[in-house]
Amino acid sequence: MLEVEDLHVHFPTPDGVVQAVNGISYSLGKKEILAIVGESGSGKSVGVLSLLRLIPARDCKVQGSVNFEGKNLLKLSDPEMRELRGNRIAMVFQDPMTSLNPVLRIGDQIQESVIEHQGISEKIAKSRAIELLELVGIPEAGKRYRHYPHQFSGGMRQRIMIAAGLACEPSILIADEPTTALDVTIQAQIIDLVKKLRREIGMSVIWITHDLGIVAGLADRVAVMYAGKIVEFATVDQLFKTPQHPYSRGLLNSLPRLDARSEKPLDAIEGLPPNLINYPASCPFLERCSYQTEHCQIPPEMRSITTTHEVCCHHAGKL
Amino acid sequence: MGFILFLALFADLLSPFAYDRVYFDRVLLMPFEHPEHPLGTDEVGRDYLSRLIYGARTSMMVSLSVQMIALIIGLPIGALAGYFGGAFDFVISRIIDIMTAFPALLFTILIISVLGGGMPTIIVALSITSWIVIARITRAQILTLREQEYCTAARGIGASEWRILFRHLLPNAMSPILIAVSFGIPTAIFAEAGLSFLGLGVNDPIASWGKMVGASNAYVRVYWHLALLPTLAIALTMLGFSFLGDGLRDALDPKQKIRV
Repeated sequence: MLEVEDLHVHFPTPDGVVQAVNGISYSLGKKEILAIVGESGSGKSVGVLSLLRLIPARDCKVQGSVNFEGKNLLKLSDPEMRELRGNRIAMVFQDPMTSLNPVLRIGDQIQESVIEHQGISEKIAKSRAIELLELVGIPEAGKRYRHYPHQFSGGMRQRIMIAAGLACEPSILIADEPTTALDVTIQAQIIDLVKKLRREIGMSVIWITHDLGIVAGLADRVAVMYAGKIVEFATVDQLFKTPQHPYSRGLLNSLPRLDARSEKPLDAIEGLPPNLINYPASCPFLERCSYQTEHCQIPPEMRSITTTHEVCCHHAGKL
Repeated sequence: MGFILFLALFADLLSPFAYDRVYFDRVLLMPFEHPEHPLGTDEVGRDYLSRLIYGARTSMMVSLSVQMIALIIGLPIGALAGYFGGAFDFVISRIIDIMTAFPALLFTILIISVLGGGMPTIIVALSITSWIVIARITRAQILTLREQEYCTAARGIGASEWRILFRHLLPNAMSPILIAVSFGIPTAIFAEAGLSFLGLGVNDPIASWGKMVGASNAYVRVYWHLALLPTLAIALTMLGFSFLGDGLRDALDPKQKIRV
């Protein structure tokens, strides 16, 4: 469905080049939900924003290839790219409070992509928008259609964002931490909604999050990102049962567990991620890794442990 | 304020006399001296009340057209400069800087002395200095709004740049622009009055408050009403429009209220 190969995103700044994404490769199958996890600044958002070329070209340098339906998205012309955005690949943004335009009725915002891409009449677009509002569980959709964003709660706005993303029935939905700003109860609703939509309209999803609970509940496969690289790529079961990369292990150990003794403090990963301007020549996780050996001065390559499990560590399979 | 607009619109019906009707036998009457001229007459015998009412029309015509033209020129230029940036923005910003640094009144006087007086010239001259304000505000607004997340979101659903600019960003920028326009109206009224006072404004026999104050110079020691009444008219109109601007700002931009 979607093949990302050796994607690099670099930002030239007065202080040096920020190497936000350093050669990530992954593929997304049909009807698959792929989760990308990682801490802040690990390049998750930049990685997907650059798929749709939503970072202004004057600000960054993107290398690699993104293949979708036989086309390299990074090489398309602007009008071709615009044709794809929202129509075949839709994006839902992180913050529902700022991603809706405050002066436009939500109905207009939902139907915008349909009118833009499919050229249908306002009237059909309107009934489509109301249908979508019902689909994402907004009560009294016919009335709410005419309301403005400030008349909705955060969770409802996020669902409206999702409705707007789904308007053209895209093949791929990219969700950039769509539930981070929401209560857990609303999170659960949205996760159920996404699963239902995957079943019903057969779309693939890339879901960015730093919440491992959501990963376990939603995704088929997971990519763990660290310092602009994918350090481990596995199915959800594999990652939670047999994490191979020291960073993934650290992440899982830092989670509270129901069956653990309550006095025991949670494990944290010591230290900070490397500076993305002076990118280390060694393994990027070296400084924080408790398994380090001399060999780790050489940056590791991605290695397959099983057909569905890849790790970027010299010690993978031996820990 | 509404009253002034009303006077301006229906000047023909409300005035007891035509603004240019001359009564040679009724020159320089004091208010209430003659039953037909409640506010007296001027130095050539024209009914002062009628001239005041027609003066409202002149003020409104000049100030509203000036702001309209300023809006039509300034809004798209400011929006394009702010949104697309680059060389166009650089050129526009420098023009704005230069025009802001140059005294506006001098510039207007220069234009009028080149093109000659009269209402259309005044409107053109004042518009040339007024669009700068609108363009600057629009540019600043668009510059901040284009970094908003809903702008990226709109791009994400495949909206074109023009659509983002005109449908998503400009409506959000409208309130400070409207406020600037409503404050621009009294400024234009005052500029027109000032120019007419200096004799650079509208041509005779059109009534203009500024010109009436100017003409009263020679008679003001005795015939005080000739200076006082048009001055009062200017002051009240400006006050009215300033209140309108304040009210608009309070209504459209609630965050600014706190700063008082």
